[in-house]
Amino acid sequence: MKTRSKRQTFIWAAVLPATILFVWSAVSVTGLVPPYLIPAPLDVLKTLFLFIFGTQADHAPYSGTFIRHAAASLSRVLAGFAIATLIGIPAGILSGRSLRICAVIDPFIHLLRSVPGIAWLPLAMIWFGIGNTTSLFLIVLAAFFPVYVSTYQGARNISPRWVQTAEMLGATRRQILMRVVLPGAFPSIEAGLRIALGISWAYVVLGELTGVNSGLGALIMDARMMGDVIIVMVGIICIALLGRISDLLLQFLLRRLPGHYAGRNGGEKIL
Amino acid sequence: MNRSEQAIQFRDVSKDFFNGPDGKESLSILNRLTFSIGTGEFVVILGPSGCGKSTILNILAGFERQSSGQVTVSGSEVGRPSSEHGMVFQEDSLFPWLTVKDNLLFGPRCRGVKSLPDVGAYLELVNLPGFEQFLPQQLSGGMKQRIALARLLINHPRLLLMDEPFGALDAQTREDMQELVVSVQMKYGPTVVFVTHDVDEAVFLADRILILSSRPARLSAVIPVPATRPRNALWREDALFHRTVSEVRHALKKSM
Repeated sequence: MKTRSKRQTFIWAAVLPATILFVWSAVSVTGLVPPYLIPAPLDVLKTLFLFIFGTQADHAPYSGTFIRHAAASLSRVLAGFAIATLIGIPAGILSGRSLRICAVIDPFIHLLRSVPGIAWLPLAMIWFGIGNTTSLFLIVLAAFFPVYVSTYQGARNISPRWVQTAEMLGATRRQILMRVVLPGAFPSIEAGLRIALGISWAYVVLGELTGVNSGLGALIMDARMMGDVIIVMVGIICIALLGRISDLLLQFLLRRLPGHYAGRNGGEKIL
Repeated sequence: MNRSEQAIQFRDVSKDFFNGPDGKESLSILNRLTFSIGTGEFVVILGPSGCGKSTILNILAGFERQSSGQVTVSGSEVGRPSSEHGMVFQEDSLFPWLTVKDNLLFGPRCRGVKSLPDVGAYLELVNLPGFEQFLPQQLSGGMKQRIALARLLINHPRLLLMDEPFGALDAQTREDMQELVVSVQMKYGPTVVFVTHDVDEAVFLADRILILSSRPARLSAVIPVPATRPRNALWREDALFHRTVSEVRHALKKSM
């Protein structure tokens, strides 16, 4: 039963990409659109292969540089996402459980949140110049908000019964935050972390477009200036794949944390 | 009953809730309620729904404070909630992210107990041996209430507060749970205050039944239950049981 529905899901998921690939092939084979705008899928695939597995000996300009670019982007994403998480979760928990802390920080955070992340780019370039710090700053800033808002919401909606229960079992205020509110808010936090990770990928590319040496965003910008549309597309595909893989990895890790069960009522009831 | 034996004392206790736009509209829940409960006694509070039964338990647990009057437990005023006063709620209160074992050990761990108690023994006590590694979502409603009870007992509370704990269970499970509570009280001897609106349940469990009037709650009758302990399922078949049930029904009707 389960495997069949899984296979069906997979087939349905393949419909849209297959259609796009078909239309893309048709467009480039018939010559409707010139290859410097839309290159042939096979050329993109070949370049993608060389980009990932090739060496300098292949004499293609970007061959074999995937690891360097991907590692640069990935490390920025991970660092920015981690910092945003480490600030966002405690801030959300405290703000969600303390009216006074909420009164101090919540209005200001929502004021900042209404500034689109891209508007920070010029300021970040003035403050930090071009390079790693600017990317990191943009990621942390953009990823913080979904983590904070979802944690706040989860912490605020904790069942009062759980808090009362913890109190009468002898928990201190601090223990209630760490052992009840944090795991209890987990389903909400989980959703925020996934959104934040996606946003981190968006902002790493934005930060890299400004002229750093390595990173997938830098690669795309570099290729655009060289007029190499194939590499631009290869870069986009790599970003899509890495973004999706990191989301799956995050979900895999989150499922292993105990709070994962906080939102599950019913399910596999056996008795 | 002399003073030292009184576990719980309510003296002239009133409770009002304020709401409305200016917080001036008040709703009187308890009105100058006075009663006392002895150490180790099993008292059931009966009354029409919405009469403030749960408020009495919430005050005893430290979740709410009375508006006026004095409430003492073992001679001292009730302060913040503590593991001395455990409450079983009507709805599920287990932490769904913790296994049965970790739910039971939540209290001892929070209080930094040096040598953790034997979880298996408490699970055996509530007739769920071997369930240590289960998650709450895998258990039925009756089982969850047993675990909730075991989670309290592991802290050895002096006062056990039960707020319609079996209200959501089916009739058969209810009776099993009532017998379980009787045997647990025999073993640990806590003072029990049990709120219900089920007359049969009250007569089966109680040493004494307090009947409250509709809101604002006043004490309208106190009915002692003429049966000794230990009790078992046979007590339900007893002629005296049925006579007491109808006496209580009558008193309850008069109180409304």
